[in-house]
Amino acid sequence: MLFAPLDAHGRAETVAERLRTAISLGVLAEGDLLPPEPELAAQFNISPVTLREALNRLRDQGLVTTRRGRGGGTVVTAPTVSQIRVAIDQVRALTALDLRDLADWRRALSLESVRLAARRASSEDVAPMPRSVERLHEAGDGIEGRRAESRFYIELGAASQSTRLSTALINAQVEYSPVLTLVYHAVETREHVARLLEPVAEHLREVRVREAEQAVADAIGFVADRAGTLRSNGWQA
Amino acid sequence: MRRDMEQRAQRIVDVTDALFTDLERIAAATAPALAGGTDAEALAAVTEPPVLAHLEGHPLTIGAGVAVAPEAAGLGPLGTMVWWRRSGDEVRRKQHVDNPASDSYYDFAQSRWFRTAVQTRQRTLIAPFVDSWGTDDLTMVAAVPVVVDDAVLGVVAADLVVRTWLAEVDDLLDPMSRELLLDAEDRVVASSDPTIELSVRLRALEDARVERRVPVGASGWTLVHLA
Repeated sequence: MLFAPLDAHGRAETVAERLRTAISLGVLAEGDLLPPEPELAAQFNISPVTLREALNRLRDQGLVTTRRGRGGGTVVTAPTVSQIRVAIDQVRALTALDLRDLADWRRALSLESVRLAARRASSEDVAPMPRSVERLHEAGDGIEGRRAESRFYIELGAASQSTRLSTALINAQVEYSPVLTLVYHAVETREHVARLLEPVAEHLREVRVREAEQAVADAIGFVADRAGTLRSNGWQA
Repeated sequence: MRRDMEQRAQRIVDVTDALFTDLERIAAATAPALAGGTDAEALAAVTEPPVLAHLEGHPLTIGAGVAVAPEAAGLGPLGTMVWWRRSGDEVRRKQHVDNPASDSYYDFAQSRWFRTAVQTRQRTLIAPFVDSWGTDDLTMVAAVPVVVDDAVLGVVAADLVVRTWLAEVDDLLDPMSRELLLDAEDRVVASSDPTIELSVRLRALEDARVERRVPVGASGWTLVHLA
C-alpha cells in the first residue's frame, strides 16, 4: 500500500512522504536496505530523477544514508526521535471524528477476526500472541509499544484464516500507527492494554468467543479513549 | 465402507506424492552444500537449478526453496533462506526480510513448516494458513528435512496453490456422506458438506459426531465420517 504506484504527476515530496511514513512506522527498520533505485522508481511509477530528489530530502533529514558502488545502496538510519516527530506531525491534522472513524474500523475488523479465530485458529496461530503481549508489557517507549501491539493484531488477523480481513487489519494498523505511537508513550497505557490482551490467547484456544471479543473490545476502547484525551490536550504526553 | 475410506485416504496422499518425491530429490542435491558449510549465494547457486526445474514441472507448486537451520555451519546464527516464486510466466528469486528489527521480519525458524519438518523428520504438509510474513496470502506448505549424518541441517519447502490442491482433494471426498479431511488438530481442511466451514475446529462445530476415522499420510491428518 505504501509502495503503490503514484499517478503521473507524483512529485518528489509525495514519494519522500511515503518513505518517511514507512520509516516512522517501522515498516522499514533501521538497517534495512531500500530496493535498488531503478526498482523503487518502477514501483512508484516515477522517473529515477524524481526518486533521486526524494531520497536527497530523506538524506538531508538524516533518515537514510547512501553508499555508492558494489554492495552499496540506500540504508535506513532513522533514529527514534525523528519517528516521534513524524508521528506528531501526522496526528496534528486528525479531528475527533477522524479518531472515531479509525477506532470504529479497527474495532470492526478486530472483533470479526477474534470471532473467526476462536472457531478456526490452530495452535500455531495462537502461539506467538502471548509473546507479543509480553513485548507490549516490556516495551520501553511508544514505538516499541506500537510495534508489539501491531504484531498482536496482525497475528489475530492471521488467526481468522481470512486473507481479506488480515490485509485490512494490517492496513488499519498502519493508518492508526502515529496515534498508537503517541498513546503508548505512557507506560501505564502499555501495561493496562497488555493486561487486557493477556487472556485472549487462552480464550481462543478454548473457543471462548464472548470472552475473547470482550477483551479485545476493551483494549481497543481504552486506546481510543486515551487517544481522544491526548488529542484534547494537544497531544502533550 | 471403511475400505472405501482407506482408499480415498490413500488417493488424497497420492495428490502430493510426486511433489514430495521431487522435494526429497532437491534435499539430496543440496545436502552436500549444507554439510560443507557455505554462504547464502553459494547455496542459492546449488539450489536454483533443481528448484526452477521443480517449479516448471509441478503446477501444484507456486514457490519453493531451502531454509537452513540456524545452527548449520557457515551461515551465522540466524541461518538463511533462499526462495523462488512463480509470478505469471516468470520465476523470480524472493528476498525475505532478514532484519529482526523490522516489522516485516520473517523468522522462518519459528514457522510451523520448518519446525514440524525438523522435529518429525518426515514429509510434512501444513494445512492452509495466512502467511503474514511470507506470501501474505492463504498458503499451504509441503516440506521435507535435509538430513546429513543424522542431523537436520535444513528444510526444503514448497508453497502450494491452495485452490488447485483443494479442487483435487474435493473431487476425492465421498459426496454421499458428510466426509471431512482433518489436520492434526482436527481442523477441517476439506469437506464434502459445503455448509461446514473450512478451517473450522471440530470442537467448534455445534453438531459434529464422528462415526469413523482413518489416518491420512504421516502428518497426523485423518479422514472422518460425521453422523
